[in-house]
Amino acid sequence: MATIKARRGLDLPIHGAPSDAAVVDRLDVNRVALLPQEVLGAKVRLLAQEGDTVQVGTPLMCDRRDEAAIFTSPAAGKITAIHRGKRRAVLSIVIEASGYDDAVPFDPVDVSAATREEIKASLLGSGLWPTIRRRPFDRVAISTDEPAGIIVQAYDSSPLAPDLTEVVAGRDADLKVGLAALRKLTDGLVHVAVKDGVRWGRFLEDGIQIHQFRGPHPAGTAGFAIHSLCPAGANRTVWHVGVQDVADIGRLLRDGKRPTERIISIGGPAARSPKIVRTRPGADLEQLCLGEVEATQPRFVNGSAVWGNIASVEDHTGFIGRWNTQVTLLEDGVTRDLLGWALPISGRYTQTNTVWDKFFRKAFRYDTDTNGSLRAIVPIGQYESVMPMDVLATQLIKALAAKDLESAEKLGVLELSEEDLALCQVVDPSKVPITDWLRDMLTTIEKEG
Amino acid sequence: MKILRDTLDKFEPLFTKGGKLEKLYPVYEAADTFLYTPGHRTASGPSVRDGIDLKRMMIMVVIALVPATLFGMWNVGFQHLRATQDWNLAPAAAPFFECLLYGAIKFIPVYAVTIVAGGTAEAIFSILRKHEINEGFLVTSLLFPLTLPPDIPLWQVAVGIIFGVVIGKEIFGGTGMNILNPALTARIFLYFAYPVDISGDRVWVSGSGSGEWIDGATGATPLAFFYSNGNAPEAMAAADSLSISWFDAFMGWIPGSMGETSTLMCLLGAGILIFSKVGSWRIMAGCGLGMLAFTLLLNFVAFASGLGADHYTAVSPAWHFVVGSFAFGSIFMATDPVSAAQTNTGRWIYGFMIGALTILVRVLNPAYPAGIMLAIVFMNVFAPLIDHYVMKANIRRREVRLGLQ
Repeated sequence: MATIKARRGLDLPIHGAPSDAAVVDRLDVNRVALLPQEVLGAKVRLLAQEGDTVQVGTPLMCDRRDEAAIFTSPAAGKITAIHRGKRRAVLSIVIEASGYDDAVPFDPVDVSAATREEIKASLLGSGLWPTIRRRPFDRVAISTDEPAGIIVQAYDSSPLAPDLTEVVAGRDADLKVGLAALRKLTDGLVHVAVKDGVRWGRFLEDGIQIHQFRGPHPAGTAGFAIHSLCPAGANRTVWHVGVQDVADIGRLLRDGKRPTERIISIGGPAARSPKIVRTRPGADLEQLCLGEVEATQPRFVNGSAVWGNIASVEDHTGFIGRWNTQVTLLEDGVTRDLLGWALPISGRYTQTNTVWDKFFRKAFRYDTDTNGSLRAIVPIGQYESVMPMDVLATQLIKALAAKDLESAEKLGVLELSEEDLALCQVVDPSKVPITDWLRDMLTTIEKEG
Repeated sequence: MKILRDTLDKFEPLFTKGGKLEKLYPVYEAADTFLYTPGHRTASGPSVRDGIDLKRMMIMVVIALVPATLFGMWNVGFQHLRATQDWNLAPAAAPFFECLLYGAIKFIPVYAVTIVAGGTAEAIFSILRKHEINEGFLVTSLLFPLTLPPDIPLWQVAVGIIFGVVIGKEIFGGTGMNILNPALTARIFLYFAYPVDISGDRVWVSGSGSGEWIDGATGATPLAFFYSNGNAPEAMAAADSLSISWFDAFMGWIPGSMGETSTLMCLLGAGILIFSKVGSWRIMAGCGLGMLAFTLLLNFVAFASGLGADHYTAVSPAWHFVVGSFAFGSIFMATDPVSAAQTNTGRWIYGFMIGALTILVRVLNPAYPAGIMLAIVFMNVFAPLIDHYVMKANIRRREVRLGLQ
């Protein structure tokens, strides 16, 4: 039970932390969706059509790159829309839910007796397989992967994230079975990353290790855990799963019930009353956040303010993402301030000491202003100051900018995902699109093998 | 203020694609974002961003330079009074505003020429190369005049800064891409192209050529003095023509370039840079350590080989710290983030080497007493190499982690 400390990083002082009060039930949501574009690079093959009636667990689509893993319906009801975007890419498969109990039957699996293939088959067939992701490339795990290890992320240090220990409180039996199942999927170890101070010795078993993490964000992210516990690289695949998903896997294998509930936090400067809610996977954000938004022009973020994707109703992506445990609400209407760059007090937070609001303010009402225009990279050590991994941030980012595939690979691009470089982009004075560059680079490397 | 915003918005279509003045867009962008925050929304990646941008960063460096600039102006006037009226004038007894005014009259034209000539070169390049006018010039344009002697001919200032901007920065692709520090490139260009106006004993005090100088006055800087006399106490005492104590040199009321004489003001600037996290404390500390280590080594050599206390090698680190431009160079010039090493380990090595090389050039190379300028440019060139080896070490560690080695 060694404690691993992130020596660098940044806890964003963002306003709108969810209250610690009990989880609020919001299970009344009757519109849910699948967001195929979350599966990066997916080549979608639809397995159901608009107008079809579906049960919980009915196959909706698969990724032609790995057809064994199917994506199933999170609700029972009717497919009301399949929205498409540029080049006919499927943006969302929307289901008008009539209930959550009518499910495709599923036989429980005795994990202790089952073989690796049996467990794999039940995860692939049930639609829970895509909860597992893999590095390199940070995409959905491939069914033929032989992972060197599996990280179970039970600590999320992102700003306004819920306490994952609380989220799975009372699900010990599910978690035990889930962890045992993961244990069978790898020849390596299963590493459980928890927050410093959390005592999870009861889950310790042969092949399962508990590690405590502390320090500023990104101490509690899969990327940092992978880097410190079980490095990933070109020929070394590592899987990571969120702890809530592990409990769901355990539940499925124990009594054959697919998950139809998910606990997430709704927070952010534009949230009226930030809270933790129990809702449905893929729930419609407009429905879920009705009356919760306090902004002239709201922006829903699927995930944290640091690494989350924009969830927009116009683009038909306003639904909770598959792996998310939080939704952030932000003010999207930005204003142009006179001589804003010259004022030492501007209501904004900066990690440097060039704006002094931070000395007398604890939380900031962030909006979506870039706070500056695009410029060339001037490396004053900002990237390094939020990079706890043994990664040379400035050099890597420059390699990404130059599309220098070889250098980027050597400097560790394969172990990273958007989440890991997001903080660099947040503190960047030159406002360059670091995470876009990262994804372009990863896509290129994957394509060129 | 609404009128201003409306006016800017009214003229914007002229400069955007398809407008009549499309080519001048960088000029419009510079004016527009100078007056108002750009008001862009995050479109991809993180939804929220830090409050710092390049404007704020560069203005912080300018603020850090203000103490040195104001003191420098006063000192130009003070040195002039000393040389023309009373050689033993005490700094506190000098008429403050008269000194400041005289200095301002000397400094402001140089600064103005730098801004106009350099700014024009910068704008022309931005328009031709279609990139934004970069805020980095704010810093370059203030650093450069501070390194010049007060009586420098203005045409030389213009030639120097244009050389610095074009050869030092723009031909590499502009701010962020340059290998050499542009302000320093400009200064070195002048040093080698017009040595008469920028070196020797006569140029450091304003009004040297006018014949107003009183008997016994000299424009020699302590650095030149050390080179010819060492630090022998007798020599110091005998040289009543140059009665400068360590404290005088630290405070900066000595002859020299317009803004670099005061170690105290430079340290104040260092405080601002380090506090605001804009300047790299690693580089500054590295410079200090390198200077200290190499000077102590020379001191030891002087002691061991019997060269004696009046040899230049015996000058103490305390003196090296306050004379010449060591403080100014290592605080403001070496820390230019673009031309310096860009890894944290690399920054230490880069700083250390600058400190050591400065003393090496100062003490062991008779032709160039002001070593810091050359040391920094030399290390600018080597910074990528330092980073290369830091990167190699990082790559090796990664391969070991992955079991490839």
